[in-house]
Amino acid sequence: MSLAFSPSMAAGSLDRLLPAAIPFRFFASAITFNIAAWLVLALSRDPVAGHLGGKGAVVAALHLMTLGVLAMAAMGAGYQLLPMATARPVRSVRGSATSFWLASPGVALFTGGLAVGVDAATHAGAALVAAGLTLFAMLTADNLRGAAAMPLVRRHVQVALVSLIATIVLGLILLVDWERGFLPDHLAAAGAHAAVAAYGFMGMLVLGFSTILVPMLALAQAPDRRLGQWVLALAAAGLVLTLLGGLAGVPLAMAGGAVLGLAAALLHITAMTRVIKRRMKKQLGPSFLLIRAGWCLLVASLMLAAALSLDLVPSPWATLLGVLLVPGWLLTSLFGFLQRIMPILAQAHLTVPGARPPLVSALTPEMPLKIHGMAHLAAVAVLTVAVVVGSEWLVRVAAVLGLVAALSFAVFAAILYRRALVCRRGG
Amino acid sequence: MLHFDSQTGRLLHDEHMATIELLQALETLLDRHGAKKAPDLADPEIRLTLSNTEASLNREISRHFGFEEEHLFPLLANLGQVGMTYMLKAEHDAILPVAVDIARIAHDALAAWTITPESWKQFHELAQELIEREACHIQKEEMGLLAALAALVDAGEDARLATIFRSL
Repeated sequence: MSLAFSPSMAAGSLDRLLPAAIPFRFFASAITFNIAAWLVLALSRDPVAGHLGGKGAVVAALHLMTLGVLAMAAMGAGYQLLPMATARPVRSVRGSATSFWLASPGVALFTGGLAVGVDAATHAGAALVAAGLTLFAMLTADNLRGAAAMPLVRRHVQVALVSLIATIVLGLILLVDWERGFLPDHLAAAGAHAAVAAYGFMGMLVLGFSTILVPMLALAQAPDRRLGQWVLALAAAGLVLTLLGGLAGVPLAMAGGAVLGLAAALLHITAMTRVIKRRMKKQLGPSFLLIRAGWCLLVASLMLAAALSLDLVPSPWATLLGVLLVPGWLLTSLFGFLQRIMPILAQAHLTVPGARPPLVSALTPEMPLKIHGMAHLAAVAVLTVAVVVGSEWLVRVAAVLGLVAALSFAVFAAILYRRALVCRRGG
Repeated sequence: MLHFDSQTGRLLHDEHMATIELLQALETLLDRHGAKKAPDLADPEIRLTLSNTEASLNREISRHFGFEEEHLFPLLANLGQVGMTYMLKAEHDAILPVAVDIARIAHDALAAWTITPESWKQFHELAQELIEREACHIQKEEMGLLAALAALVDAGEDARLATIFRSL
């Protein structure tokens, strides 16, 4: 039995590959929010060093990065990559599109409301984002149900989804608490919200998808499964301890959570380093510079989190934790992966029967990626120094560098899109 | 990405790794000799790389692709993986003519113990294209095809496919 070409069979039968508009809409949104985040930080007059939460432009910039960039990219990548791992299509393409139309305007409304101090916009935006993320969680949970392949990735995603729900609930409680003031310790709850969002939702997605993406991009064997199970167990235990410690106000538990997280991170890095050492692809390119830098920032963030929990460093250094965690580990890793995934995905969508698929290298403009990588790492480094020495002037320098990086990535995406369109038209 | 749950997946993975090893040797050759300067065909190392390339492209790639197109893709298409199988088939269609041209140039050069600057330039360009297309194709198969095999094909069918593949 041979595979005879039948256009009617191929049409509408994209199975695990979603329509290109779905993932790329999320990626475009993430790229736009990345520009907005650094722009808000550059233009903000609020002090960043020693910032410990509340409303205003700094918190808006932070949520543009977390909800706008990280969550949107995670949704786009999750909808596309998870069906690859589970070998099951997303149940509802319309549902995944709806989650975008809820979450993306929601992020704009929520962060806009935070930045200019309009509570109605903040609340409406939060409701939309929560609805969009919940829909994503439901569709993803449905995709995982009954799937047998890649159990380690599935379990990482399951922990990420539980963390996402906890993040949403805590976020909404914090929002109401701003007006009603019923929480005994708003700051501790905000810390738990941040930890579960960053290490739980985003972190577990990064750890889980790394076990597929790093071997795929490096052309190497999969990481040690047993090591992966330890990473998962330690990270999940660390998350539970951090969440409970944060909510109950027990610093030792939070420190214990950070130590468990650190053990998980070090094991994860060991596993990934082994994968890379045994790779078949010689040149890994600048994306792996970002991915490796992300690992260093993850370890630094967890060490600082433990020190903060035990009062070994002054509390204003919590801002530094935010820097190491969000633009540091998470954004750096995300853009490391995204710069490789986007051209491969674009090429996959351009590969149709009867047409010669374009080369990934022909779709990928390298120069904007080089500028992005250098400027982003410089932004994180300068922001770290700025927060440590308490220099608002340096914060603005870092924000401008971050903006240059964000614009460079947008240029990369625009050129990729234009080249893909030319290919689609047969150019 | 390894999927040891599937015998066929493991066999395909091993062949992917062998192909990548060949492509690495080819890439090293291209790195050492730019497109403008043809290598010396009397050099035993160069002859070995070219003859391995020719043999692999003539035999292994067509065998590997043939097995997938004849036995694996129809099965997976029937299990609902139509889009993926058509995508991979389209990539085969793009890779095979490049592989045939490279194998032909390598064969002629080995037989003549020399290669003209024009032929070397063509070989260089085609080999670069092959390396990129194959690497990208293997990435997709490792991520998509092997995952689908492990998840959708039962043990009996998997054993049958593995037997066919070994017999080719």
